[in-house]
Amino acid sequence: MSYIEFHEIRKSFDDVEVLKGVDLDIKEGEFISLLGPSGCGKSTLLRCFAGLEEVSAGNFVLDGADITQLAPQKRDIGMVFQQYSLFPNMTVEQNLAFGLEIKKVPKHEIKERVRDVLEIVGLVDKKKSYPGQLSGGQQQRVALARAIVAKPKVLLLDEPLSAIDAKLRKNLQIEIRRIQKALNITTIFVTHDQDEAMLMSDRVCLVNKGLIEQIGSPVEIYTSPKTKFAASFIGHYNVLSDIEFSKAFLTHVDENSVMAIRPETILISHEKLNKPESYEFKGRIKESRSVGNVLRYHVEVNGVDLRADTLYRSFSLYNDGDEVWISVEKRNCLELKD
Amino acid sequence: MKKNKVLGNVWMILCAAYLIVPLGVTLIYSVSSSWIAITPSGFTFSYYIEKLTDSAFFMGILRGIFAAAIPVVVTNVCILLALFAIIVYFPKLEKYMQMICIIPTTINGIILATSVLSTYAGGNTVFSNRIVMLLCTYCIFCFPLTYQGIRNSLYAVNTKRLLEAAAMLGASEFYGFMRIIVPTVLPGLMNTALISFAGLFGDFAIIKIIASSQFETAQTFLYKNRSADTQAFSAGVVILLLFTLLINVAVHKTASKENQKEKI
Repeated sequence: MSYIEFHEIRKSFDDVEVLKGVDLDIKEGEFISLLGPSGCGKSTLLRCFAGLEEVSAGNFVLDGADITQLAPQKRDIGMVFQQYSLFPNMTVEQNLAFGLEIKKVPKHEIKERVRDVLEIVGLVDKKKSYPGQLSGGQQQRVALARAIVAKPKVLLLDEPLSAIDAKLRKNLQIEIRRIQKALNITTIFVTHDQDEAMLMSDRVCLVNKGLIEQIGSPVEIYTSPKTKFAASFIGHYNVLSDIEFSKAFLTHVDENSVMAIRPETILISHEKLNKPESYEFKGRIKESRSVGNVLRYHVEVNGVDLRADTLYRSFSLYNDGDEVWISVEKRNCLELKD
Repeated sequence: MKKNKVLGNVWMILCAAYLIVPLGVTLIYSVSSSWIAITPSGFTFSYYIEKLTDSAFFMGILRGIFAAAIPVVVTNVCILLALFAIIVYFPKLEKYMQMICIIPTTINGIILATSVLSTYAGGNTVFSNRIVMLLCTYCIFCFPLTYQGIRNSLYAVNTKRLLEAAAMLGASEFYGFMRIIVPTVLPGLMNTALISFAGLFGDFAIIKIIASSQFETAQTFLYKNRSADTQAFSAGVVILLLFTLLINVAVHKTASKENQKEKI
């Protein structure tokens, strides 16, 4: 039996069905990400689990108890919101103590627990500051501290890093994961950033149009996408129809099948590589773009446009219009469910 | 560009002078021992002492404070609770509340007072009491400003999200509202309340129509005695003006406090 169970969760807003029967099992201490594009229903699912939205059908089980009809106050769930939602009239210390005071925890224990959690998030020196006096990153750490100080059964993180700049975001991703592991707290993390989900999660749950499209470890999701959506959302796969694939690689695949190729598995070279069990064809560089530490080439192969990623290296720099050879191992061409 | 700026400044100075000169003259007149020639013959505070020791005038000020404070408090509490209910439980009703709140702005104060008087006077209900009638009319009068002020403050702090955060920590909606939202929006609330208070305290027309014979405020007292001693009358006007100025300073202080908080 799982620690958390979502059974056939449905949610409609007026006539629009946002969640269409979501089933999900989560183990105790697991860090799971709900990953998907904006409007796919991931935040709604989280809010329903938190009790902030009522479900239209289905039920939630937490630690063996059905919590579907419980008010958010009674669910023993901690939550960190996208906009931090710190109480502006209270200091950091008071923000953290708020939940504990409601639970009537003795004063000396409140003090101790607040201090311990502030040490964990590294904000002891800011305990007397008001939220308005803190940076975005500090505010988010306070929000995290406030959620974990009450020792909830589950921690929900609703896109907590989306308002933070890239560098700080990276640091906080690592920090959140460190804290989650240290406390062994079951965590559900909502994000639309695949890199963030991959970096932080034990499992990634890909949500699309109110349904779970695929669930698995980051490696599984990345290397073996099962659907066209999964392939195009994760890793910027080249997704080709049977006709396009046959045209590009002059081979036959089943009718109506969809093929996916990761950009980094397409090798580009000046000479033919003659690799075994590979498709090797001549192509022409149409366009190149710099994406961080990667160069993304658009290569036209037999009239089909393919994306190929290479690292910056002197021997792998090509100009637009260059004639090149591309090589793709057959095992890296994945057939998807449509 | 520079010429326009100079013209603008000149125009502003002229307007300011037009507004300030009568006040300045009233002030000088109220402290002059006698003013028969072009300039006053001497200065005295005797008219101020006379006014401030006049129990009728003093009671008038207290009645004015009472008549302005009660509606402001009642309106603030009612609207705050109504908006709490709307934000938390009935968000779809907000448009109706907004519509209701706009209505008083379309009615002139004198028409409102006359209508209230003709509707309720002469009856046997509690609303026939002139003081109750006056307080209720004042409530309606400060309704739009209070509603708009509180509404803006509540939406500026994202009340719904803060209450959700409080709920996740175990707080009921009402507890969260009282512990988090009300203290957060208090400077804004005070600001609106003081503006409403200043407006009602300075009212003369509505009180004159509804309750001048039964409920004499400083304004109605001065009006009644305006021809008895003009210098004492001027001193009374200046005292009321200073009181209103004091409220405006308080408004300014709370507003700048709020701005400072936002800047942090």
